[in-house]
Amino acid sequence: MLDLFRSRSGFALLLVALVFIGIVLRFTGQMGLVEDVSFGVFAPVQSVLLDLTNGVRNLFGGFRDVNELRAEVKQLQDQLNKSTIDSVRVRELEIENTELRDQLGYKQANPDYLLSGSTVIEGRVLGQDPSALVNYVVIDEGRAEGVGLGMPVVTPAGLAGRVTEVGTHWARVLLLTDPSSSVNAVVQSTRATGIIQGQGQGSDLLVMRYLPLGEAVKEGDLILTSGIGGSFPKRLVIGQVIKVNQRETDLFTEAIVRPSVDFSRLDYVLVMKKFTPTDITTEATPTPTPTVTRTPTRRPPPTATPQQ
Amino acid sequence: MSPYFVILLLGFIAVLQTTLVPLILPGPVRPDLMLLIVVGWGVVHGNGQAALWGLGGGILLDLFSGTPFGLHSLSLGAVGLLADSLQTNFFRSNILMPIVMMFVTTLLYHIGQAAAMQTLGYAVNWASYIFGVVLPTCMLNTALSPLVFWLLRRLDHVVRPRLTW
Repeated sequence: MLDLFRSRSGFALLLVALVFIGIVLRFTGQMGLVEDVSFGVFAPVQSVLLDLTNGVRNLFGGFRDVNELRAEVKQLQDQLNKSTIDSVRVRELEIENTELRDQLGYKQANPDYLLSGSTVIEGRVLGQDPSALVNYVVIDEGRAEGVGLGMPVVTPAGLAGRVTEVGTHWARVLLLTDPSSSVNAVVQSTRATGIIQGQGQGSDLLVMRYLPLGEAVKEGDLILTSGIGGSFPKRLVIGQVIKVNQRETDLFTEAIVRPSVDFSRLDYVLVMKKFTPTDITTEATPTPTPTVTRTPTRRPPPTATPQQ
Repeated sequence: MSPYFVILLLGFIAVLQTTLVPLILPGPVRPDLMLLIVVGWGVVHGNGQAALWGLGGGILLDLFSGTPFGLHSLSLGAVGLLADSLQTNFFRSNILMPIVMMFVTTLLYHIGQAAAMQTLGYAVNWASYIFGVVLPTCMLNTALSPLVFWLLRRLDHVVRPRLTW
């Protein structure tokens, strides 16, 4: 028997058998142990390679001043991202305040939270998918660190994707730019809702579909998560509209959206652990908001006293 | 060449493909290191080994990838088989033919994968994929192929006397 596999054709047969076993295991969802072992072997190598590459980058970057400037730029960029998110929330609060004032007795159940106030875990991006047909990344946090299926993955710049596979110490994240990614979204200014989908295969832009006809969206509008469906929290920044496609014969308007996250430079991401995706198919009355520990973060902005 | 060395080599190539290459070349257009190695070994060495390298290397890429398992292994195995069979029909001293073959195999590899994915229900934007990803990748692989062939020829000279098959 062993002699069979020592021959070239026997070895080829063995490899083909492994491929078909792999197909069956992946199809039936039983691939976990194999992937755990393989990522357990490869992840340290990938980490070392990333560290070496970053080290070489820093070395050729030159002087300490350059590194300090780089750190300062990163710090300023983080502050800018945080300010952008804060300004989005301030605007959201203003809109919410106006809506509440218009609807007496309406109770707004949406929690207000800060990214830093949510329970998140930082994951290092170990690698990207070798195929250009899909957009996945693998991070170095898994079940042992509390990562679960469906958890949103964000960066300080905005929503990046969601967890689609989890191992012991690794997880696979489906990025927003993948064609199979769909996120319920809302146009910040008009509150028109639609679905954000990735275009994939070379494009780093997103498309927002099923927007109502008319003035639902215009160039420059900010697109946020709507929270509909319970898969993602509300008000996560997705991107900005750069083009609106609307023809007279169309039933819906489409908008091309540039994502706020730079997917070509993903080094670290944050997995929102505390957010539990709501499965509306098992609920009699779907919960409209995610289950997040509510922490008041700021007083509503002062509004002008109506003149009498 | 020892199978253990081949497994280590293919494993290292798979790690480079998924970790280092996206870091150096962010974006969808990147060299296919595994494809370069498989086709290159078929051109340089032949003897049916490229198909085995393709299957083995493809299994490793499938472990890293979110695509259906088997996509990389079967497509690389097929490409390796093609590289092996073509190597036997052309003169080794004709450098143009292997370079042209690299272009063609890259094209077939990516189009084959896209067709398989579409058959499995994935959305494929053919125009964007072919003109935005496949053709630039073909050109990149073709440009890198002389270097890869040279490196693999050096390796072939080293290991040929000690072939275990």
